[in-house]
Amino acid sequence: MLVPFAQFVLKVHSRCDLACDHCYVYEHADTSWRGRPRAIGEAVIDQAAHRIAEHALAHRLPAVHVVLHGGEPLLAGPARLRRVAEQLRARLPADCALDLRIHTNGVRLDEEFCELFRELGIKVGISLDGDRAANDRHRRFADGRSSHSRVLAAVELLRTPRYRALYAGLLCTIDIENDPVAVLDALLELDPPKIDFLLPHATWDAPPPRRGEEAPYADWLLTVHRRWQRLGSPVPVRTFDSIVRTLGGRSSLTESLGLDPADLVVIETDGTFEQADSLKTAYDGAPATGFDVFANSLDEVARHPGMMARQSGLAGLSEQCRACPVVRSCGGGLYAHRWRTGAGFDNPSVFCGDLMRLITTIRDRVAPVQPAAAGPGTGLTEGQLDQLARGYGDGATVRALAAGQLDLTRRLLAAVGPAAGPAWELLAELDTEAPAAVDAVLTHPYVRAWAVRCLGDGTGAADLAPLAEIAAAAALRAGRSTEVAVPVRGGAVHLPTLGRLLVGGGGTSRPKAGGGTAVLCGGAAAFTVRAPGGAEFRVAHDQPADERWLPVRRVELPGGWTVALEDLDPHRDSHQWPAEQRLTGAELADWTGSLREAWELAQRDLPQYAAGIAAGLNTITPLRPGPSGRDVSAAARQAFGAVGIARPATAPILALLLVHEFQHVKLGAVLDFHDLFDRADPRLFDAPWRADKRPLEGLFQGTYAHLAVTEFWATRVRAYDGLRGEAADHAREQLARWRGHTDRAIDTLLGCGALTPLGERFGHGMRASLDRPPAPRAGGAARPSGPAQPAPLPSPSGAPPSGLPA
Amino acid sequence: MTTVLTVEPAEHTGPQTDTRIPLDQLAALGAAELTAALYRALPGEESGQVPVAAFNSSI
Repeated sequence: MLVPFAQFVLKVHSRCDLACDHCYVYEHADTSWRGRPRAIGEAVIDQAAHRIAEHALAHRLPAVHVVLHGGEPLLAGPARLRRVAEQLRARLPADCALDLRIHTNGVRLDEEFCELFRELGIKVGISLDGDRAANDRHRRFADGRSSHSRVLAAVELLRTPRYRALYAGLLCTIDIENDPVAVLDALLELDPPKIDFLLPHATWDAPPPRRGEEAPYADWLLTVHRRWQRLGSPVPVRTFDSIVRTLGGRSSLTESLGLDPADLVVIETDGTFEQADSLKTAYDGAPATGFDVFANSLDEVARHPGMMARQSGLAGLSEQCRACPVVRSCGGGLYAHRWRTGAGFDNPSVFCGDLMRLITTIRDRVAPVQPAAAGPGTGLTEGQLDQLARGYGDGATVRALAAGQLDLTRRLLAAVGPAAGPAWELLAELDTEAPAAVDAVLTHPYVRAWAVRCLGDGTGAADLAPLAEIAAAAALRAGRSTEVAVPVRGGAVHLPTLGRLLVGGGGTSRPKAGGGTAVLCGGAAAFTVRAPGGAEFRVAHDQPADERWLPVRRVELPGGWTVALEDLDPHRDSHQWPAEQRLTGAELADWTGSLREAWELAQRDLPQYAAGIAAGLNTITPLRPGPSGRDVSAAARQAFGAVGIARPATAPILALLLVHEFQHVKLGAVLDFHDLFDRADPRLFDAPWRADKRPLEGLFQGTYAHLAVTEFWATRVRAYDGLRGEAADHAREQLARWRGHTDRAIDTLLGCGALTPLGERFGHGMRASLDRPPAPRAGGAARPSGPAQPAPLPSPSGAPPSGLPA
Repeated sequence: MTTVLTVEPAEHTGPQTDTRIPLDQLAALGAAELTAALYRALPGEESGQVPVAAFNSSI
């Protein structure tokens, strides 16, 4: 997959008025600057603007970020800088924003430049290494004079009210000989809107000075971090913020950390395209692409192998990095810092030890272990993870997954619920007084689905009314006689896990006080609901269904499995296919009969899957029949414990749909707390069961589900052992097909390079299950309980599970 | 089949957690912290847009 460029570093001048001895442009391995024009020419400016605009249009980019860079970009002079800004603005599509910046040493920054930047909307970043002593260690003129006072004058100009909005921040290159506290204090004195600290560029060929210490760069930065924390984190520091963000699973703010793909390209003064600027530190010619603005489009540059290498996330890292616990935060460090002659970039960063200490220490400082607010997790044992890795999971294992899911739902509810006022207060009270009653409601699969919709609403007007329904259901289960205001929707009061009471009237989805609100009150033998018009309804405990009271109906099956046929919940429409309406009595009887027969088959032939289903599948949501009678079924990542199924023609196919979809449910619950692969890997892979290519998660989910599909057909083949006929041939054909598909998919997963150690464990576990010799069929030579009709398979050829595209 | 209302306090055969943190204590953590810790479980915040790394040598 091509990642379009959105960041462009435009080199407007290739020389500098300082002679800093740590500069990667002039003092490191690459010497290409010697052959380049000093200043960018008009033709290059115009063509570069054209290429950027062409790219923005082709990829419908909402914004592009252009950094005017050097050498020293102010040497390009006001007229040239004006032309760059004007050409870019003139050529970019109207709906594409331009974020234009210049990064300078500040020595030449004066009012004339500031006026120009104010007019053209160019923000200014300044390089400054700290206090005078620190700055003068490297940042001097060629004759040895200090640049410090000139840089400070530039910053003072940017701090004046007229130019303050142009002030983007300060960039400081670390030298461990400098006093970290003095450096931070000096930078903070200049009141920058943002700071960043850069590790000095180094490689395994040219390692950074260490003074014989193990991780001096981490120690230096951690001293800064401690000081910064004590001062109340007065300004954002990009490195520190990136570490905290990546530890929390969010994107990094800098290419030197995290696994986010690079979308940056450099355009030199002669119009050549180059890769990351920092590669100049690796070897002479390292950043070259062979492309230029006149002959090549940016799409061509994006397909350059060097560019792709920096976009492949975890898969692009060394084996040592992929196995590292902090890889998501460090991302292998800056690409250039991994270079070693002979091994190329297939190494950890030369700052690996520093990054490890820095990240783990900040992690512990920012989020110290607090048992009372322990983070979410499944608490799976190693043995349980092994079961799941092989595609299975006994009752205890799936109960552990369910416990993690309950905790997850409770956290989501705590994130959205407090805004609901009295209903939240009641629920929080019940949570302490009657925790089992609350949890019985919160294990309902669609509570999480609703909470996630609220979080994703983004409008600030999320529908919080269902929280009152949850609180009311919990209050009833707790035997409380408290009055609870509940919404009336579509003329009904809904009580999740219990049922729906038709009270008449339309109601609204967002009832206002006294409008579409009923009052529910529990009691020892019954509960009552007072409708908005004043009518009162009484529902006795154990009252059979009637024209007003529609209870949730549960099917009790042998072996301790009780499952609700959920045909009431307004949030059950969480699967890819439309949900069925309330089942009639006849439809209910058909479902019950099919379930009994399918369950008998699953228990007998697929006990390694049935045990988990009994422990974790509490809801089946009937779906409407698929087009042309196709079998449809789905699981939803946000609804653990539920599967959606259109009742198929035969019980064996229902058993197949159950085990197939519950595989998605189990794996989704694992993925909620564990990384099995690089989530940021943008590649698509061949999935043998589909015409289109799939992302890693889809491929993993499909493989996991088809492992169970393969075992299902293996049991059918064993049942037909020695028999001929259409059904037997169909079973043999299906087994060969799904075994082959699953086998190839496991190969793809294990070879993709993007699996975490746990992901590889799952890959090898699935392989072991697939290669396992068939177990003797329970019950000896018993034949299938019904004729196995040649039926089209579910998800593989029909419905990919909702939210879990296989 | 159970086709009737069941309101007895749920017999707790369901999931058990070792450390059950009360809802009000969880809420005190704040929505941002709660959801940040659950990032693996939530739909991507970038709505399909791939997050990218920013240029190191400018700010």
